[in-house]
Amino acid sequence: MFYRGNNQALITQLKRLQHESASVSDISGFERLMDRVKQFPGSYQFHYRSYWVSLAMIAMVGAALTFYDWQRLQHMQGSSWLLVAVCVAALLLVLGLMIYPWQLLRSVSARLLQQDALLDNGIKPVSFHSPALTRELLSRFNEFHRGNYRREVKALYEGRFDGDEYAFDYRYLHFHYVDERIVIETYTNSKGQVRTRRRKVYDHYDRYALIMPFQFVRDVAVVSFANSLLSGSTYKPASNRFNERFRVIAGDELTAAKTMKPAVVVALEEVGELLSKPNLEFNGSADLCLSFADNDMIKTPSKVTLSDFTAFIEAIEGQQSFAKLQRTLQSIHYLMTKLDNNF
Amino acid sequence: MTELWVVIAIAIVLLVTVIAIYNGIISRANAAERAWANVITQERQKNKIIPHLEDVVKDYKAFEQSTLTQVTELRSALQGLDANKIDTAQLEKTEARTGQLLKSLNITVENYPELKASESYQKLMKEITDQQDNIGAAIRIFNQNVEDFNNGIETFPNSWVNGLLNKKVKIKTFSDSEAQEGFDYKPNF
Repeated sequence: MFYRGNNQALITQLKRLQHESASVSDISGFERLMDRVKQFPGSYQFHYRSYWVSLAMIAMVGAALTFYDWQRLQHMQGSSWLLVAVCVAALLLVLGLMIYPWQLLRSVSARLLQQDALLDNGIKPVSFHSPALTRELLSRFNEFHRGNYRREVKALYEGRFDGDEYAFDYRYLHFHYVDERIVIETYTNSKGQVRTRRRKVYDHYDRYALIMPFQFVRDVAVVSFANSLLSGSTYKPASNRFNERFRVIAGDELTAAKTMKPAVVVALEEVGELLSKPNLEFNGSADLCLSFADNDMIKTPSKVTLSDFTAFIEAIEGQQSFAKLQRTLQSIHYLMTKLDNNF
Repeated sequence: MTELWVVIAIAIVLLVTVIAIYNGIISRANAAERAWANVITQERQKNKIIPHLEDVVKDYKAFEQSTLTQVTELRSALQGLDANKIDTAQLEKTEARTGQLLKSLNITVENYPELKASESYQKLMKEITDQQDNIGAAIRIFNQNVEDFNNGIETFPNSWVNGLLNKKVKIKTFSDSEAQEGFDYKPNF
């Protein structure tokens, strides 16, 4: 009822795209969705003029009436405040009506770009049962033993990397955990007495991880973000830079020494430069969990929206790449080639 | 009385600082030495590869004549490396010999397509590449540690502590003279 003409048609189109994009799982489905985007007869530009006029009119009428009311009695009375309140509510309503389509356009554009980027990179979202998956991860890797209050997997994706020598499937996941701690606060009560009270505080954290088979190393962890559950022999390679950033913990020192070849150490230093708080855990089943704090690994780099239609279509039709993900996977592939010991 | 305590506190802080700097210089020197020993260990891995190389090329006369001399030169250069004494000139010599051997190997193998395609040769080349990567990485680590050490004895007030107590001298980093020959630019330090 608040939108008319192209504005109304655009909001209906955006809502439909938002709804339909949720069920897209492959390239053909996405192409059908993009056909719908292109077939929209109207404009993807929201027309704000009438809203700006309404805003100006409400402000002027409100100011004039308030001024008249105040001039009559030389002070603000109940009716003046009521007038101000009505005007402010009307202004907020109009502002809300302007912000809603802008927000909807941004979120639908970002969603479509993100889906396109995932498809461009051969990454598929996977449905999962968070408690079961969390239990599985806890049994396989020490990395996920974090958070004394809550642990959950928030997103899971699957992809594949084809390197010159090795190809592997990987899983990318977003892990969220919450630490509960008790803080003791001092306060002054109504009688002026200083008292203490205990309060529970919840700290929320996010970690992201790439998990893949890594058949050449077992029971070694290279850690830059502490994990108290990891135990075993520690090993220090010769590099000062590496030792400043990482700690190596292994089942035995010989395995660690064999794994930490100079080329591996330098490659890990580069992983440390690329990622924030990276941990590499090679478990006993020869799987690697590379975890980190970066949340932009599979985020579309494009910021264009549907209102800039030509640029948006160009971004969708071009190849979007996740540069950080590619560099990370290349580093893992490089580690494989340096640790395969096939001679 | 208070003044005396202030003087004692200042003296203790100074002493602790000097001890920390002294120990820092020692640990950085040890790290540079360890990184050097690591380079030598990686270089000596070539001794394991050379017999395989000789084995693979033994049936090819042209190889025997051209590579044997270079293999002998490389072996003697490897023998000259000492894990206990940092000698970047000798390392430079060894790397130059390795470079020459690999260059001539690559040129000569073009005349023997069946050898180039053979599994044993491919494996050998991969191993040599891996080894060169490890040597390159070990040299990079050595140079990083040497830089840390040199900074640790040249910056103030470490330079005072080193001049008075440690008396360590600056270590020369490794530089590839063969690669430098390709540049007209020479830095002015």
